[in-house]
Amino acid sequence: MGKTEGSHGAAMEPGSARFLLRTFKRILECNTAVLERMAQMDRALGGEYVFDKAFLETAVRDVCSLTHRVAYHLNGMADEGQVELYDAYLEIKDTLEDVLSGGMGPQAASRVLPFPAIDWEMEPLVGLGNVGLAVLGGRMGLPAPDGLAVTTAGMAALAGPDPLEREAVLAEVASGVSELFTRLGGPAPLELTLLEAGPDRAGKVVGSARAENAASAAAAVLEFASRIEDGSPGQSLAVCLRPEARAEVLGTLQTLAFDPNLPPSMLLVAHPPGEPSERDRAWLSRSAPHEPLRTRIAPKSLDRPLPGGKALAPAVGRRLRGSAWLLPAQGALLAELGLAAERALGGPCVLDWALTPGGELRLTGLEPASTAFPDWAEGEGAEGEAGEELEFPTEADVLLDGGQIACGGVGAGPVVLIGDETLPDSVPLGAVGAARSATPALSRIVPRLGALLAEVGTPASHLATVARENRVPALFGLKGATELEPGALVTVDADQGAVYRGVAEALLRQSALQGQASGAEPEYLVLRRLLRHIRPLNLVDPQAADFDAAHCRTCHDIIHFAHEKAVDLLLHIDAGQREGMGAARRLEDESPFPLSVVDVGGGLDEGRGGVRLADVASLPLRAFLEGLLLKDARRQAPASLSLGDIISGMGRTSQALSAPAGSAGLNLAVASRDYANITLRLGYHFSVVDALVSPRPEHNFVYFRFAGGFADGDRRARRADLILGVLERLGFRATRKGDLVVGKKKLMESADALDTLRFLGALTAYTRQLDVELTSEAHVAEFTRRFLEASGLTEAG
Amino acid sequence: MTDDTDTHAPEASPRRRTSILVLDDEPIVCKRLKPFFQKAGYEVEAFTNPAEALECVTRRNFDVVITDLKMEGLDGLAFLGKVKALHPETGVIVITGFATMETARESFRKGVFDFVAKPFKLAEILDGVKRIEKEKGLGEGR
Repeated sequence: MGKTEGSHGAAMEPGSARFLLRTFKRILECNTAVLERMAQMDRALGGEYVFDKAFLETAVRDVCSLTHRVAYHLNGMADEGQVELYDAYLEIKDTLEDVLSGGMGPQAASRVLPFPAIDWEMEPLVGLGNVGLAVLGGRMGLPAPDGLAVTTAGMAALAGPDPLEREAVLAEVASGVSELFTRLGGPAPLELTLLEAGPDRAGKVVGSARAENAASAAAAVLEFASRIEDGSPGQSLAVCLRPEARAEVLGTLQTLAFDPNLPPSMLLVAHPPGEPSERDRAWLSRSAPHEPLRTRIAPKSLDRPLPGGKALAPAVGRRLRGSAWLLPAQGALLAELGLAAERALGGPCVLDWALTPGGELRLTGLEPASTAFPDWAEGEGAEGEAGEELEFPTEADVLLDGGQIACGGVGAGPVVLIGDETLPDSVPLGAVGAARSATPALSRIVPRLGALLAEVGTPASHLATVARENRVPALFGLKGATELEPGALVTVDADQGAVYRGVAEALLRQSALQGQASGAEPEYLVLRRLLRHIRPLNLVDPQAADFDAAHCRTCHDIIHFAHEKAVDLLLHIDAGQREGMGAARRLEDESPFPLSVVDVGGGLDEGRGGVRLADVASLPLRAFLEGLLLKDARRQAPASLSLGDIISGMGRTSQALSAPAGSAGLNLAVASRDYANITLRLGYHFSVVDALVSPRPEHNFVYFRFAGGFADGDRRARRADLILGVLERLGFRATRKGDLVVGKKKLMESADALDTLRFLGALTAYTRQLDVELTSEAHVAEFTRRFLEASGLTEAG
Repeated sequence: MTDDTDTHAPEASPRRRTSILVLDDEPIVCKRLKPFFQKAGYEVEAFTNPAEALECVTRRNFDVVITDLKMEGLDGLAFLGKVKALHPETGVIVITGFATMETARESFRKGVFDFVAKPFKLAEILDGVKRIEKEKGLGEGR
């Protein structure tokens, strides 16, 4: 395709304003299509869709082709000034193709990985033990140790014939251990396990060792590697290194234990270190509060001290402790940790744990459940005690139904009402969280939940993505969720869109045995790996030194980078390029600052010269201006918004309303009927609003970026905090870095998007020069409160 | 075999569970659909091997057959042709990732009740099954 895209003569020459605007629109169209495809892939992870390998291939092909077109169009606009973007694109495309064909992408070559760099789709590379501890400790905040993994690639190099390679890996191990010690705050004795890895998801532990320092750790890893040489050269092995936990009592928890006389239960084994024969066994219910279904306590002499208390001392309620190594509450906590591990890892597993002398329970290792369950293999054996068939819940058991699947699966637990202010630690592990709104602020709580319900929210929201990342069954848009009785036990079946009264054993059993909701199938693993190279946005700050084509690592990076650069090119259209198209039209309403509007198709009513709000046909621009020009817009703004009072709380002065000399003309809105890009450069701050509002929620998005300010750093950061707080209340996924705030809100109804834009307009006016007044943290809270109160947003909290 | 099948035909009873056969050579599809329909109260058999599915439908009748179109070993259109020949009353839903107007037309000519393109939502396929039930007076009270 040539760069001249039309037959309008000189006006469509590359570099002309018309050419730039048309190409910009094409970039926008491609960006929207990529975001839509990404959202579809993300939603597929949640279990709402049934998909197969062909879907993955098609989705990757589409995302790649659209991303390539974005790079192509940007180069068209930039006169081939961004050719490095093609290199970045090709690298990502190669990676995606490798992952599609069963590879691990660029990670495949990693030989040593610290736990913070490990996510659970890397299981073939590092084995279940490493993934389990890394994910449970790092991502979910459970009491699991930091550590590092020697990957299958590392072990293969150690077992290989090349001594230089071997030395290189050993040096990486030693350096990884040193870095681990730094993260831990000092050296510690290490525990090493050799485990099976590879694509078959074995994960079995086949060896163990101890080490005191980096050198002895490297020696132990080398000794492990020698076993590959000796016995099974084709074997994929990995090593897990982590600090050894000091234990008063230790043991295992098998999250799914088979006993013909019991319902599916969890088997807890506990014994003092070095005394495996002194073991207690308890079969715990898989449902909260995890009552023991059967116990086998080892006989102990009367004078044997027990950790944390005395034998026969009152423990829970009227129950006596007996002479068990663990208190009942500790057993219940381990059971919840076990279920959290099951959710995260996609199936039953065996946890190693230790009770420290301080009374803390720590996870120390993880293996797949080795017991086969032939009697339940098909999952149809929903049989309880005495072999009777367990009934699935009926309509009479339904407390709530409806909603949309944010993440499939089944979870049961006590209902806990949660909101933006809820502290994660206050939520019991395994609870069913019920929220009014699926706000991003709830993300911190998600890993603790057995299931999540929200009355308002969609499967496309950020919180839904977080639920899928953590495999927490979730239903959004479920009316009445917050009316569930707090503390009542309920079962959430997200696949069926239902909440049942009590604990539905048959559903939990089917889910546990078939693991169908956990997304552990190969297609899900591949999809997750693909998304790692498609979805994350790493380049967020256009002012950063590394905001360039070479640093684009994902498809999202590329389309975002291209968008920013394209906006930049548009903003610098000079008079010479404007040949053949209407000039920017100045907004004539009383505005906090001068603003020019360029119409790129249906954005303004016919006419020339100045433009007033009534002339703005662009839906997103009009909504933003309604908020910005509130004084004038009051009569036209929908009554339900109640925005009028915002003005009275703004404390604007005429001085604040006047833009500094020389900044006029830099504030530009590029608008079409359904799209607006509003760039405000007022000398001392810079903000961008980018929005698409159409009848199709899946296309809609609002992007907001705010940076700068002429007050000192503290005050600018305070204003950034204010904006961050308001954006989160508006349902944005927002982040702050210094005084840069970036917020994104996607996939919403058009009415919601327009309301959001009105708020952003009001917020822009409100926060203008506010940093000068924000002299303390208390001011932030006060101004945030005033803005939220005035705009009616406090109700959401 | 056909006669034998008839003797195993489901009896008319208002409480009888609607029976569904799922055939897709992608294991993930069977793994998702089988428990989903079981939980919804259906009797389900799922196959990834077309030959085994064919053997099964010659032994017994199903109220609903859900089949992929493109599979190794046996074409989905051929499979549904055989199902309809053995049990004309069976409601067939075709699922496929390669939907073209031509395959859709051909499927409908062979008596397919519904046509669902992959990826599909669980609710969509449940809706298809419910419409078959309604049309054939099956699964009362559900």
